[in-house]
Amino acid sequence: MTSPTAELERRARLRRAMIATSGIYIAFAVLVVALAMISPAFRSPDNLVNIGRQVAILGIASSAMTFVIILGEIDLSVGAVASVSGVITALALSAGIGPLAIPVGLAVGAGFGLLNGLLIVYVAVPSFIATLVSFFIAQGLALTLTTGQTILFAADGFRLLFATGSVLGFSSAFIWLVLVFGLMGWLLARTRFGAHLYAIGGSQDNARMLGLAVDRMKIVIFTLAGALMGLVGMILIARIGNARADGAIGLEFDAIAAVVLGGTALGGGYGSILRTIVGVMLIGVMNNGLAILNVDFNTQQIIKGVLVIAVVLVDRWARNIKMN
Amino acid sequence: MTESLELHAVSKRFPGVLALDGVSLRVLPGEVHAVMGENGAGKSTLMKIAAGIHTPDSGSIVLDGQSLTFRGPHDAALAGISTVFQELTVLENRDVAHNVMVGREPVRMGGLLVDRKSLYRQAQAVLDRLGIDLSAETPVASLSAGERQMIEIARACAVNPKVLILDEPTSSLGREEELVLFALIDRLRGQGTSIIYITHRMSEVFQLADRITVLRDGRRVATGPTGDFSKDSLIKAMVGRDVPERRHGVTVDNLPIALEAADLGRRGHVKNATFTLHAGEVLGVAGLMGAGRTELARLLAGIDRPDHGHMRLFGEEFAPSGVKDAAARGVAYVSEDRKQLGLLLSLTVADNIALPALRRFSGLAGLLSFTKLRAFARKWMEELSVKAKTPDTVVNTLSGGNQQKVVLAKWLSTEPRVLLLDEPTRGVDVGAKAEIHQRIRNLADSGVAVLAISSELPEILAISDRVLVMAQGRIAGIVNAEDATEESLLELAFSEMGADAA
Ligand SMILES: Nc1ncnc2c1ncn2[C@@H]1O[C@H](COP(=O)(O)OP(=O)(O)O)[C@@H](O)[C@H]1O
Ligand SMILES: [Mg+2]
Repeated sequence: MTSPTAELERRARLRRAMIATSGIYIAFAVLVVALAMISPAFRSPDNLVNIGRQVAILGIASSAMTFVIILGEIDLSVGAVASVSGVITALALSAGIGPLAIPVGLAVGAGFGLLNGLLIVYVAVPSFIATLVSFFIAQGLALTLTTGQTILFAADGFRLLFATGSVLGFSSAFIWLVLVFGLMGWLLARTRFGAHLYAIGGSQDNARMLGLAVDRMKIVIFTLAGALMGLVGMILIARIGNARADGAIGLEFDAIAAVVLGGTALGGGYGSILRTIVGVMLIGVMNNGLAILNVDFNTQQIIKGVLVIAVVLVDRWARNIKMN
Repeated sequence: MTESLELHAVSKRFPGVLALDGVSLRVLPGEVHAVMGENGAGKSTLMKIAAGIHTPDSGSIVLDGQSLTFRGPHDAALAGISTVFQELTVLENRDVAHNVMVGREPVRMGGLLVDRKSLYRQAQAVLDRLGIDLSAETPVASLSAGERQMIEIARACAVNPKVLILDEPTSSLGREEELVLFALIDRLRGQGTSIIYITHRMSEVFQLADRITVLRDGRRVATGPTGDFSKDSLIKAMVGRDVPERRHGVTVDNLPIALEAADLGRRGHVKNATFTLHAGEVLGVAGLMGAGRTELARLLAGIDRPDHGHMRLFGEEFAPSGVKDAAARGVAYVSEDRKQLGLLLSLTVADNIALPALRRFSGLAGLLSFTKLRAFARKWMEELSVKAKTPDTVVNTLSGGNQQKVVLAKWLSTEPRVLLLDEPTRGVDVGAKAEIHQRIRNLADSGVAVLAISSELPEILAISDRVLVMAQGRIAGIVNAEDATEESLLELAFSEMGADAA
């Protein structure tokens, strides 16, 4: 029973909110166009392939993080687990076990993910703590195994499969990313598993009362995230041809940033792979563009920080408009 | 047929309380079995055992002659026991269809995809069948408390249950929604479903129930056909003593004016409210849902600012800038929704009671003195007979009635001159209700000006000296409680229906 003027006002506010929520897409488009105009290096085909490879790692990590965040949890072990998976895979490759190195790499990642899940469910520690524990163990293990050295390996087939190969002009790393986005997007949006993940993320207590298997879901999600970190570790070492203990250090923060930039709140129950893709592209393109423009890494970090808070504030403003 | 559900000699102990002590309950097919008792009597615990949430320490669950063990709520659902819990368990982040069908989402292609079309179609069919006027696509976040409750009911009835448990389903429902629920209960009963129905409302029990079981302090004290009970005998069984319900009447003319509102209004909610509230009276505020009662109280409490009109407090201009300002001038507001606004559930009873008056407990060097704080809290716990073991009990673990008493204690401890109560006994059992009523009367007798909003007309009539009735944001009338009846109040509440609110 709202009056016509109130209705008009409401529509105007909704429109402003729409513009505000699409702000991130606009920002993204402006960034791409500007970089392409300023820098010939940015728009070179080689660089596009390069971006594809770079966002592969961030994108896979971020889709894992998206699941974890929708569940209402957090995973701080992402970078360390990816690193140690890469290290162990490299060691396996140089030991000459061939293709068997691949399941080994995945198993290392999945194992750490399982550890996270078990700590959260059976030791009843918050995910922040559980994954911090995994972070330290994975980091320590990687350093011990490498003794601080770079692990070299010769496995061209492996490198082609995970990073350097190309199909129809796309790098194989990028193909992996597309596969993971597809798999995760399907799981989340189209399956019962996804429906229950949203339900549990919305309220773990309520979901439990409704008879959903909350604990099992936690273990599965963290294990899945871990396995994806195994994949990330392999792409990482395949890209550069060697493995280091700190190969993916800090990846968790970029992944959280990408999820948040996509507009997903940390409370759980909300988010989608599509949103995360936008966040990933924004960070990927920005990192690449700034590097090409010779902005040093430290300044890049500062810009990223400012970007995150700006997007979050705009998002909150838009949400308030929608609510009223 | 044998009795469809039997709980046999069930006991359950929580840390510090024996919640159930050898309770047995038999529910026959096609009967509505009311379970009654004061808050904390163990009703919800018994239901949670039947629903597979809690495992009993001893005793057994027998369904259709078969003894069952539930490992979780999923097992109970599979066995045909559906439950609407006292706490809302709707998923706020999802839409109606995903709530109604949760755990039963239809799939296609061998489970690879959720069949969204039939998900929405089936959910809509359930809503339509039950007479719930909602679209399956509506996000739950945009629904009212009553509508959310209806979603819970729809979820419980999505597959025809053998046993339907309803734990205080009407406490957040509007009149229309209640009627939908009652019709549904009748239909299910006709189909042979066993229904366990928990409520604090006497009228519902006598209207719906075939048999009644009464629990007190974790024990079963009575079971029998509804006809064997009267309202008084039920109350007596629940509380273990007689509870007088009486009405007070003072003539307000001689009492000093505490709060005076003139032409008070806020667009869309309250229109031209002019009235006086006297020190020493209880002014009941009646009206339908959405009539603007809470909005009026919020204006008086300084939560919202009026668009026009003004107020005077004991003769002085009163235009509070916020709750804090109003509280500082002696106006306290006890909100309708104790979980969201009134209480910090994860804190202790003492913390909650002391919150508005924290300054008073500064000890050495301005640090809080917990000894003083606890002593203060203990005094107010006794004053209102809050049933908690110590002031350090976490509020979360208290029953609804005791939580409500904590909210009251919290505000009474500030010694307000004007007390605004919004649904002071919602979800509270008869025993605690009578106590709270008595407390409200005592406060008024001690000179406090009390304004009490309630949706229950018997409650309004029981506690008020005068009754202010609101309809569509306006004051439809102010009458002496002694001259009022439920009918006359209802007539006023409906009085402006249909008239265009220009
Ligand atoms: N999960 C729990 N943990 C500890 N105590 C509980 C729990 N649930 C209920 N209780 C206690 O058990 C008793 C019975 O509570 P409840 O079954 O909720 O009563 P009712 O539904 O009749 O109001 C109360 O003393 C309550 O504080
Ligand atoms: Mg209860």
